[in-house]
Amino acid sequence: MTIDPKTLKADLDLTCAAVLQGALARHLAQQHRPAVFDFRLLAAATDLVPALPDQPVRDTTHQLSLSVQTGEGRIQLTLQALGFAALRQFAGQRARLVSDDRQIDRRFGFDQRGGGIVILDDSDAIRLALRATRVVLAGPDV
Amino acid sequence: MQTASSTRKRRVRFPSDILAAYLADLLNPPATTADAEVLRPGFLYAMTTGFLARRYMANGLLYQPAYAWRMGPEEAAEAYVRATLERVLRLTGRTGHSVAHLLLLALVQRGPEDFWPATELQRRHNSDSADADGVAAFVPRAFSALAKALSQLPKRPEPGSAALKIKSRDGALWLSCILAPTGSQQPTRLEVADEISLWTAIDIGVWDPQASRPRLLRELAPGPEFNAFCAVLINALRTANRPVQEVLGLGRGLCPFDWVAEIPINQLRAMRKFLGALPAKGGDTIVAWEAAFAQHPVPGHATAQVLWESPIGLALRRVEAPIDAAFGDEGDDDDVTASFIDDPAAFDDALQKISDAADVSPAELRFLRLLYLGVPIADALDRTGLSSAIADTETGLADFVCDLQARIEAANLNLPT
Repeated sequence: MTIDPKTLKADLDLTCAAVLQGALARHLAQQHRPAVFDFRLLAAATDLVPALPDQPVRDTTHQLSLSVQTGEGRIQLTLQALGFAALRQFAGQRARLVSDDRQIDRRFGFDQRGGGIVILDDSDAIRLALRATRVVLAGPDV
Repeated sequence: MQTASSTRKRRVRFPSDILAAYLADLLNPPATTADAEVLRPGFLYAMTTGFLARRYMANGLLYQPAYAWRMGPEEAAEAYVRATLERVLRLTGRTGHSVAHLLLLALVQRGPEDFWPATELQRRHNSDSADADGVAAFVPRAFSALAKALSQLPKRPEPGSAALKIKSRDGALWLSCILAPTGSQQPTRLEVADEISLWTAIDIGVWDPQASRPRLLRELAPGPEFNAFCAVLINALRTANRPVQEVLGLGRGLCPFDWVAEIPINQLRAMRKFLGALPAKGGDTIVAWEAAFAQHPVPGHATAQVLWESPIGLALRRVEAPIDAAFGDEGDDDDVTASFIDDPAAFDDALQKISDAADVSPAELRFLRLLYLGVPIADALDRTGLSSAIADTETGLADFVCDLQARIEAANLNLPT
């Protein structure tokens, strides 16, 4: 079988790129695991659109609290670091709040007191998305 | 031995490769950590933009003088994702599917049920085979969830598009598999939209919107299995990134995020040739433009005057001096469809043919073979004695990897005549 040099070279280049960059990416991903904080707002099984909690809820690691206020067509989420260790972790950090389905996707920052505010439009879709949200800290630049 | 520390730092031809590899890793979470923790579209998006923003200055992919002054790393990362991963990939007529469909197929084939790995992409007119509804009573839940997600995509290509012509000539695009439990060997098909973005492929490939949970995906083993999936992502990102590169390649300091949605890629390519034909100094006169246009006309513009007065013409004239674009000399090998070499012996053989021309040392050849087999990069460096030659920093490692890749890309194969 005749080897087409152009095809073989392109295949080799692609294979080397996958091998080298794949290994590098796996290494980088292991070195930089972003801090992640999950909120799960439970709704009654009968609710098509869940009611929002009237008390602060905590993330699954109990390092952040989330309070919800509504009014004038808006939902205001107030995030607050809990405890001194968490304050040190969150203060001044850039972060992103995302829902699992990406219906909610907001960049925000924590202030020096470990507090952050995200304002969303109030809609059924957003309320549904709020059932499963995640705060991802941006982490240091490389 | 050549390493990053002893040579000028080289650039890889496609700076999107590292983002592609990062996505491949992200889309292959260890089974022990449960897919449910990772394979959620919102989280994948946060991780992707976070990766880009964190490495803003670390490579030539995201940071560009053309827009660095007007947006921060996170904003640039979001704009980049919009312009590449979220951009709908148009069919050109050369093939009946895009790299986004190939990515969707690669994800679908990783479903844990027996029937997923043999899934194929097919173009055909409405067939005599069963569609998902036709055998609804026998369809596994995972299949019907995928059917539901695919059914929500627009099926009608835009008027005048190549996709519309392909569809009328060759039929619709289908994901086809044989649902063995039905007892029939008749394939069951799901129609796929003709033009989708890479992000749509990821979204559909990982997320079950009916159940609001991730689809289960089989974990790929380190080595050729993962590397082949990585190659799919690399091919996909190279294609998705091309218009961004083309705008930067014009060398006039244009922000790609302003123009990639406005100017078709064939126009961008023609503009590059047109600009290259202008005199180095004093080239931005209508007389010089007319002379260059006569040699290299730009599609979509009837005359040099039309181009001169168009929004892109005005933007091009704002900066006469060429600005160094980090990757301005790419995008010329569209016709080369590369494939991952999935046979270790064939990979070894091809490496041997390139080693002299690429100035790759025996230790680096061993390093590449170990990575091909799935050995972690730190172990491979130790086992080949290369770790001592690399600066003990993340940048040092990335520079070494890119330098080695760039040397291979720049070399010619040594084939017997």
